[in-house]
Amino acid sequence: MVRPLPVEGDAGVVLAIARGLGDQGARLTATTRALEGVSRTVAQDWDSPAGAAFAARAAAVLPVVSRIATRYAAAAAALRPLAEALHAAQASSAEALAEWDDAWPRFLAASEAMAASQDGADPGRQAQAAGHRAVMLAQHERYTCAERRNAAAHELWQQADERCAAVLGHLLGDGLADPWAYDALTATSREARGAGAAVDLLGPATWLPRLKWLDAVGTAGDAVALVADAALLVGYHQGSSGALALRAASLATGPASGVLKRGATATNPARRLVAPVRTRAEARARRRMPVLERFKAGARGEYDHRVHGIPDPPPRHPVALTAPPRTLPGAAAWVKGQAKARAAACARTAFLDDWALASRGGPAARRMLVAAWTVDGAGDPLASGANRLVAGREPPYQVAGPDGTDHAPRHPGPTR
Amino acid sequence: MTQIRVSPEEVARLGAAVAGLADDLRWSADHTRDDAWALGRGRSRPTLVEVVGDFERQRLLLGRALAELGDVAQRAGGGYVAVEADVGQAMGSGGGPW
Repeated sequence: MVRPLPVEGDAGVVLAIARGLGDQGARLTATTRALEGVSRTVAQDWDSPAGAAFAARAAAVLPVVSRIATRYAAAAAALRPLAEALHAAQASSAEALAEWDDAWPRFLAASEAMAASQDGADPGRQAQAAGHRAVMLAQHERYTCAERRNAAAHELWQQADERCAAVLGHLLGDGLADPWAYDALTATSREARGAGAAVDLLGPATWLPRLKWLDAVGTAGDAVALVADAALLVGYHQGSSGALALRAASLATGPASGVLKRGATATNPARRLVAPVRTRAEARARRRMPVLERFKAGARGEYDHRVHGIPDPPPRHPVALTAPPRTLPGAAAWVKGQAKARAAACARTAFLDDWALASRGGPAARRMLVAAWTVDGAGDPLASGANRLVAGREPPYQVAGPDGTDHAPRHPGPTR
Repeated sequence: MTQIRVSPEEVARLGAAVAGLADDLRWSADHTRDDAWALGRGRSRPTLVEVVGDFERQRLLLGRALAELGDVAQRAGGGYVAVEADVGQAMGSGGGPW
């Protein structure tokens, strides 16, 4: 006789798997909803290369994440009753096997005793054979009943296992492993790579938000009011940005913004040479210029640039320009790539370098630069760069990263 | 013109959550495979292993896509917050409505 087999497995671990998959499914579902919400918002309000890259990547990821969430949640739901059935089956099996372990040796002992009684010549011992037989039958009933209970436990487990396997098998037909998901991820990833490359190329410039108060900027006005308002704000801390209502007439804003921007990014090398600085705060204070000096420096730089045509300092990092291809089919891609490289350089030069430099000049310089951005309307850097490329009137722009080093004398950035 | 009206903090938080999902998925698949013995010798055991593992290639791709997506979102949200804070401080408005 072979001892019946217990029901294998560990209900606690199965429950832990179910809990883990359920939690994972819930997180995936929540993330899917959040991604959908942000993607909807992005489609409406986040109009930039970064927004386009985000939307494209989210579009590729969402259906796959959603299917995984459903699969995990359904698998968790299928595993929970399996864990309960396994727990019940194992409990019943363990109880039955304990009964069997007790009854089986007793049955064997009673059988041997009965055989010995029957074989003996002693009439007294022969009379005990009937008693031994009764015990043997009782123990036989016990262990066979235990075997039946153990078999029932196995049956309970197998039925639960079949149900669970059917649900899990059904999940395998959700198409997640089919080529469409792979293709969706790879194909959309390829599509997103264009926008993604722009993000990587442009770096933080693409994250620069449209300043909220730009919405308040009107389209009519004159340069005098513009400069007066800006000077009031920058020089005397009067008024608020929201009430500034800078009126950016396109013809008047170019020189005005140039003055402000040059002034904001001007450094004061003479002051640095007066005496060595000991602390960072001292160095920062030393670099700061009075607002009036900044206006003078900005006006002087803009005058030199516009009237005398003094070129900007040579660029530090050349844009990756390559020779045009000889074949027509490759020319379109080349033009696109070059436009992107030029636009990236313009974006960096227009915003980040100026901001980094102005940040080192203290609050007044930052305010001045913000005013300059407002005045010149902070047009789309990509469009601006592309327009410049098409016009072909300017030398290749250079990328100057916001690396914290002093840039003086400093390129003021493209003047719009 | 770059324009974003979604909450930058939410975008940054979402980015972190999305980036973490890739790790969660890998961890979940590995551990479920390792612990599948607990289901016993029935049909559920190999089927469960398939459920968490038959899309391994897609999962790897998805992990990469999620990591990129999270990175983009975190950078975008973080950059937005930083610039707004800096400009707000410079304007003396504390980042209030302009």
